[in-house]
Amino acid sequence: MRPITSGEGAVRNSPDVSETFLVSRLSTFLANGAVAVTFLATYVALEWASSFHEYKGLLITPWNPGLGVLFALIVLAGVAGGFVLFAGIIVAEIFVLQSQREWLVIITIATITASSYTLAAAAARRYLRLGAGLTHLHDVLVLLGVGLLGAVTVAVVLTALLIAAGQIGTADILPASVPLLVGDMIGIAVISPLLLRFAFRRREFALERLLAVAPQAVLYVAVVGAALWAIIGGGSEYGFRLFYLLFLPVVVAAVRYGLDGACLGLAVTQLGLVGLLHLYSYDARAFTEFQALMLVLTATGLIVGVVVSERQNSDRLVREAEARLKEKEAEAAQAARINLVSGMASALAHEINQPMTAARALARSAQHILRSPHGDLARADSNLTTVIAEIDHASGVIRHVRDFLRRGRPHVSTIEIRSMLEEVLPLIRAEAAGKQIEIDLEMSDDLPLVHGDRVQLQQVVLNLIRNAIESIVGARQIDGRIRVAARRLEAPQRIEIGVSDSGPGVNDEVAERLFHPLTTSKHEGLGLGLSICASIVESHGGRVWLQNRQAGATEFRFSLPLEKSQATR
Amino acid sequence: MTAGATIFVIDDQASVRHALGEMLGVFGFTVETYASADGFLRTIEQPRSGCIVADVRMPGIDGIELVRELARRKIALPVVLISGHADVPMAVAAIKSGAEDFIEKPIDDVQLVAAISRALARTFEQLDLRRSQEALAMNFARLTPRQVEIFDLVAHGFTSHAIAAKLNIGVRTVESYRAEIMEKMQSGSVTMLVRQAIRLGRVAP
Repeated sequence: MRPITSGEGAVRNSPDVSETFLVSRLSTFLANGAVAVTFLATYVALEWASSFHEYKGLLITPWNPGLGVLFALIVLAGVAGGFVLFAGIIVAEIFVLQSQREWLVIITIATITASSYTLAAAAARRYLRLGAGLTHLHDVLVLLGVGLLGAVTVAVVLTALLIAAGQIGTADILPASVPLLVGDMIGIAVISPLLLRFAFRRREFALERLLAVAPQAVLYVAVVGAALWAIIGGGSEYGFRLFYLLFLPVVVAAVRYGLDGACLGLAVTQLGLVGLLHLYSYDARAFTEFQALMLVLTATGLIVGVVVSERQNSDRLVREAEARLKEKEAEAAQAARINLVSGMASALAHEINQPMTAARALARSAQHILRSPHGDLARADSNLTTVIAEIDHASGVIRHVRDFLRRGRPHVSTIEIRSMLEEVLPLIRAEAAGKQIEIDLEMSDDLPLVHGDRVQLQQVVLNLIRNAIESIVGARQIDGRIRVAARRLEAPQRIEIGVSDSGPGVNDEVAERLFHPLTTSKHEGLGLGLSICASIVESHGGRVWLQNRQAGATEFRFSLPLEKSQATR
Repeated sequence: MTAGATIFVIDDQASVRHALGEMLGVFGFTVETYASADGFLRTIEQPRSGCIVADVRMPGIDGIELVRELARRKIALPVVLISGHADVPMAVAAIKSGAEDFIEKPIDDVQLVAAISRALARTFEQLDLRRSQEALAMNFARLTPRQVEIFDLVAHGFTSHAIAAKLNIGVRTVESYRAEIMEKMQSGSVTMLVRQAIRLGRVAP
């Protein structure tokens, strides 16, 4: 390799690019090679560990975990995995099984097996949209289906081959092929899902998580062990009848921990089963029958597991979406508030500048009087008194704005509707005046006190006024009028506050979805104003509605129930 | 320094209007306050001298419109605009409209008084200039056609001899015309006469 990467020719042609390219290719190649070799070794070791039956000189493995491992690799890595399987079969045949077969036969067996499974897996990935992470029921069913298809193909073709080669007779078809089929299937059903889940969800298999469930795992192993003992210890006839006992722990694991729980539970059960069957020296026939039952158990466990996982997953997604939505809503409310406040900035600058201007001018005139001989002290004193009043006015405005900006959770207090509304007007009047719009306030005298968040309610009123202004300005109307009216109404006891304007009205399309977020008729609006108004008013037990959408008399109204606010007093 | 001149404070906000009026009054100006530009324009029938201090944003006619309206009515009153929320486009619009100055609230009185003084000074200067120009034109109108002819020639630098030769008259006659012209134009020297000719537009400067 070295002469290529540092060789003169390579350097001269395209010095850095080819070198780094080759190095990265090389490291990828080596890493892949290491993975391939590891899988190959695992396959061979499992073949060795699981081969303990023989049928007429044929070594039969009634459970084929090695195939399960490599089938997972094929699903993940495609054709490369197929080559590893091909190599694994040849190595296992020669070194582990010490087969006396001819080379040609061995290579044919390896080719048929590897290509069947590779084609089945590739087709599943490509045409059946098999998700290797096995997150959906569909994925598990497809995996089991293609596993079955591959196993059947291999069993049929190999049996035919052996018959053709004269190694077995037609009478031996079933005894030879059924264990092969069942063994391949169980290897794929038990081992492949476990490995695929592990490859895709390594976090779920983290040590802390495994330790956290360790006590349950110990209990599980004990239960499965006891059940297996009861099944295996009593002889095959007795054991088959008790096999249903194994369903319970597997289904419990699947229900609690989803597909991951099912995979681990099935692996434990299968290992225990195989170990005990071997320990009690069951023959190949009984072994195969147990494995067939195990296959049913495996399919059941996997399907229950994946359904549970799917549900857990969708629950989690729903919860996450809800949390995100809540977060967004809070952000939107905050953004709307900031939007509102920044929109008010110009009006507020005016609002604060006016008293400042007056105060400064009067202070200067007082100073001028005091500095001149025989100055009129009474005049200076009167000027300074007005200065103080103006400064108080300015600080009142500032306090009010700060209240607006500082809002977090609602702050409930007893509110006098009249002063609450009167405080809103200075915040918006300057802006309205600049656009030639007059704002009137109309209140009946019998307005009671209500309980609620003063600033939030002011925000609602301000928002409605602001919308009215924008509607009037948008229509290029001159001499617009806005009226804010509050009145007390009976049955049910409530206060209704309405903001009406002389603007162009609200069209049908907008009126329909008025209080939904992101509905806006403005060019630069977030469309959050009314939906936030609605949520504020609703949190006070009232509602907001469009009372009149006619041009010239458009009115938005909101109600505040009295029983409720008085009951909370 | 500002005898006869009045400061007209126009602002829709009563507190600001009164405070500015009080301050300028204490400083020694004669002050009148108005709540709106419309109100001011209604009362300002006969030409008055002085300076307007007006808010830009007001209901009805705003400050910038007021400046334009004064120009339309040919009322030569300088306007100092004040604003609580000034931005660059507003300031540009104010100056373009012909306002004397543009000052942000809260108002620095030194700046305001300087602007007012500058405006008033310019007004008086222009007034003086206009008066002397009018006097000059009146004098010139008193010249006879012949005198005008000789005035132009003198202003163009011709000597008495040259003029006599050009007009085919005696040098002495020219001298006597010149004396009459000097007297009518109240001009002490030829240099001054030339300057008058320039101001009258008879000679290119």
